[in-house]
Amino acid sequence: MKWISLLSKKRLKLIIYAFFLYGLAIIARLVYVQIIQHEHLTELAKANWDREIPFVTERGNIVDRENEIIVTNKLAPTLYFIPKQSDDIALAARQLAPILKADEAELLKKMQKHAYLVKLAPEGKNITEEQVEAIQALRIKGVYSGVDYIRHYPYGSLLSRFLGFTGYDNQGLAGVEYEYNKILTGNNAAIRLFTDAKNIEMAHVDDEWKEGEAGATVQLTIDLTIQQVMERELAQAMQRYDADQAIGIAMNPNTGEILALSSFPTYDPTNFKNVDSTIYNRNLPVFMTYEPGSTFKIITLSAALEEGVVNLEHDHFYDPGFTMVEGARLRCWKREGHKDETFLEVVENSCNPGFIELGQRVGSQKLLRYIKDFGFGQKTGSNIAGEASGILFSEKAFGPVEHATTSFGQGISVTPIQQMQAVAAAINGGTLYTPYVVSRIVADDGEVVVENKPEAKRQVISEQTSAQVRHALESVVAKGSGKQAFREGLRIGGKTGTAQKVENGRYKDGDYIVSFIGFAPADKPEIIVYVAIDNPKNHLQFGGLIAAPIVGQIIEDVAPIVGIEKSQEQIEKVTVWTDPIMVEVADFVGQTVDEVVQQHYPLTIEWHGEGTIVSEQMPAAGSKLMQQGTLHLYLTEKKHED
Amino acid sequence: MKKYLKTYFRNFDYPLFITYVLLCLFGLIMIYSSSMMVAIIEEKPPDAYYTKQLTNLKIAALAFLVGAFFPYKHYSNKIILFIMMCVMAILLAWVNVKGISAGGSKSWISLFGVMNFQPSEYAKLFVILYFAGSLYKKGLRENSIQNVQPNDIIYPISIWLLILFSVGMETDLGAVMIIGVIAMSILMFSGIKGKTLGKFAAVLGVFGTIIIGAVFLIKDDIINESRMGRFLVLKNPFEYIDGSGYQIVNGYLAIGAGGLEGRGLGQSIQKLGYLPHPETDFIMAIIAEELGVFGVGIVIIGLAFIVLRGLYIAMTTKDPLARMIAGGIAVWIGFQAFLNLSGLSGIFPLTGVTLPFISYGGTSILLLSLAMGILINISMYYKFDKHKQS
Repeated sequence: MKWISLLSKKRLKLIIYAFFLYGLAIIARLVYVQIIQHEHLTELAKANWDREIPFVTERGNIVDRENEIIVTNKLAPTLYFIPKQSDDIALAARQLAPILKADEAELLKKMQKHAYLVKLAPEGKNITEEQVEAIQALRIKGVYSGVDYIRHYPYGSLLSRFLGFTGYDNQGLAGVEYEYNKILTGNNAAIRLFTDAKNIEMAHVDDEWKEGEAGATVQLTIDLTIQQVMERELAQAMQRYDADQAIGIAMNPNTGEILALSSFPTYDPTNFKNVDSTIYNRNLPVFMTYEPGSTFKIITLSAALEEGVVNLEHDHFYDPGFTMVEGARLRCWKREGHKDETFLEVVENSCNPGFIELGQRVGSQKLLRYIKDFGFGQKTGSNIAGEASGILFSEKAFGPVEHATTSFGQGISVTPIQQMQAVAAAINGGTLYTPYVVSRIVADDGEVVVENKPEAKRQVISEQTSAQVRHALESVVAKGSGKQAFREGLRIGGKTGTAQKVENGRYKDGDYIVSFIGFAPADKPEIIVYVAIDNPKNHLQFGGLIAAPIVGQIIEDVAPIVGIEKSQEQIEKVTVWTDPIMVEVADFVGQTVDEVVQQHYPLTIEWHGEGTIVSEQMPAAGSKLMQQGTLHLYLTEKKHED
Repeated sequence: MKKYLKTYFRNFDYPLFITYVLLCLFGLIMIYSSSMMVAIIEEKPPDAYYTKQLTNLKIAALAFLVGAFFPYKHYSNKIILFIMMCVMAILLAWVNVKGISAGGSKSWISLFGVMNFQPSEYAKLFVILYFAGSLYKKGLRENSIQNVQPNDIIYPISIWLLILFSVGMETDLGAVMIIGVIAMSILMFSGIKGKTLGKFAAVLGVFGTIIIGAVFLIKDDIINESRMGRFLVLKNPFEYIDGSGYQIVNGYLAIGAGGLEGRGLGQSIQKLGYLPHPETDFIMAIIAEELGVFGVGIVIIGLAFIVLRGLYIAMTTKDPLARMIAGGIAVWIGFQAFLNLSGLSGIFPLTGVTLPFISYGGTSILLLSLAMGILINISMYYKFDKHKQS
């Protein structure tokens, strides 16, 4: 009845082997997924389960040297919506729309997204607390308000071109906000709701509070009061002279700490979208490079004194109004020349031929070395974003003419911060300090992450030389071209400067940057202030009349803050304020506008008519005029045929 | 009868029986655990699926008893085979005309509105019994299976192909594969000559091409995105997490999150709506998540024991009918488990096949229980013969 097949046994064996093999394969695979990939998959699963309602942590503050808050945050919650928790999304949208002043249809579309969590942005991003209260009162299911902040600037546009601003998600986009974005940004906290796929909270998994960390605080060396004084003065100057730009820096010459840093025009950081990027992207004190003009003479003076090639009190110089260098006629700003003068008077008068003489006495290569030692031609290392390095003549190209023009600050290109660094060294006893603006970075938990200390680069000139420079510069303010910066008892020293702007390798007609660099007190400087006004109009005047009084005013106002006490010993001012200063009017007829301006004539000049050539003047040449008086010049297009 | 029962219980295969019962009960617990949330979401009582499966098990127990006490030798009976064939024909006709769709396959029929029934499950057992029965009889007639010629098996092969075609029309690819493999395995270990087997394979190849072509023509949506996706996701399921990869990724996450020890019974999170219908083909993922390696081990060892026991009986029995039925049942359970586990662990595309004894499903457990009854009946006779010899 039964039949037996040997074949069937063999074949059954084959099947058993096949089953064994696949069993092993499955077990191996399960071991791989379940044990080897366990941790990886658990992480993925947790991310799949949790629903985070973000609690944005505060971005770090930016504070001044006294811990006064310059930039902080304001609570401005952001709305989130979990569609699956809502019974009636249309109703929710209808309720929310008027409060958020949003389009209902658009909002509804957003709220109907197939997502577990919808950020109601931009409608519900950074809403006010009143809005939040109104929404909470409605008790709309599925609507959550997550803690969020916007940047708050208690001082508005103050320091804005240095500070920069933040974007939509509080990310730094310019200035300090951009440069220190990583440090200022915290880790967001969140409530982690573990929910099932229907977004119903899980009963047996506890909610987690994901700890966040606020951003670190950036402390600046800036002193808010000094900054405010400076910006007030520059704003006034901008208006009075209808200037294109204005630059201001205040620094502690003994440390390199920057106390104020201004660029004008400023802008409102909350409204950066309507501002030209050349404004918020350019921090002028470090970005702009231009001919320093006469302020650069301080460097030539320091070099000459250090080299011992001049005695300011005893050595005399004769200025005929020009000097010849290799066949080139280099003119003094005063056409008729300063005639016989001591070298101290050369400094007081800012006499170009006198400085050419000083430069020649130092020697071309030595002068170039001093210029480099004073930090020109390279970045200062201030760590301020966007710093330029300026342009110097190379050693090869530094011929006698270049040597001569450099001696009085022409033909080279420097940044304001480089001038500050160099002049600070010239007057502080000879030490070149790296300017810096960030003093400390303090983490959320109070730990000091970064602490910047004054950094001396090198000794450029001796203490004695520096004292002589200070004396000469105090004399400039008391007796010379910087008179407008004089303040009784403050012992201000300084130097004026006027530079023509260069565009595409050529001097730009009628476009000047007038500047003044001043410090006080002259015996032991506590503050050094630089102000430059770019293209002042209305009054075509020179640095001494526009920039010097601003610096004088700033120093006067901030003297108590930086600890300057009024001194009795001070170089006597040549005239008392009540005496009218009578000025002999020179002959301007036949000169071009540029020529007139370059002379830095200490009078208010009023221009009449159109043209480039002076045809008439009033009062006539040779007559005397009060310094406060106005000289009227009449312009014509063509030169007289005589 | 009394003697039959006495002999019966003396030779009863307790280990097989206990394994089967344990797997069913373990499955029931896991169905309860994994379906609770599904039930709540569907606004049913949390134990809705559990209660239903309990009823299914009670009915299945009756089927088991029938299978266990009805002497297996009668499955070669012409009349019984004919009745079974009629039932098959009715069911297939029914499902193709008035079938109910679920999960992309139209493979259910509503039995008098009382319960849903899956004809393809019946087809699996039917193919085993019908092939075993008819091959056995052919072998008897020719004195040896060796003498059975291809011509002699045209009839069962044709019916088998018809069934495959019909189930294929339901687009239940998993069932097609199982029914196909079962029949081919039985034919193989029936001991039929290699030459015949080769001819069969040739015919199968031709018919297979025709059937597949025909199915393609009739159902142009057979390669729909969801089916193609099942193949594509194998490479990197995480890329397709929002589409076809969703199930497999969430299965991975469940298995992976379970790890060595598991989250604990009832503690699965993936079952909370992340894994759709975790009580059916992805129940092993929930077992892994809740009970870790321990839970997975119980199921795999239990299933392996049943399969190997069946194959061992098939290999060592002297009765060709017992061999073919026992072997067929073992291949069925083994191959179905393989499809399920390899799909969920990502070594084979998902076929939607349930895990034998464990997954939720009335028809499946009913026919598996009947099959287990038959296997235990065969085992009893097998032991009895052994005792007699010794």
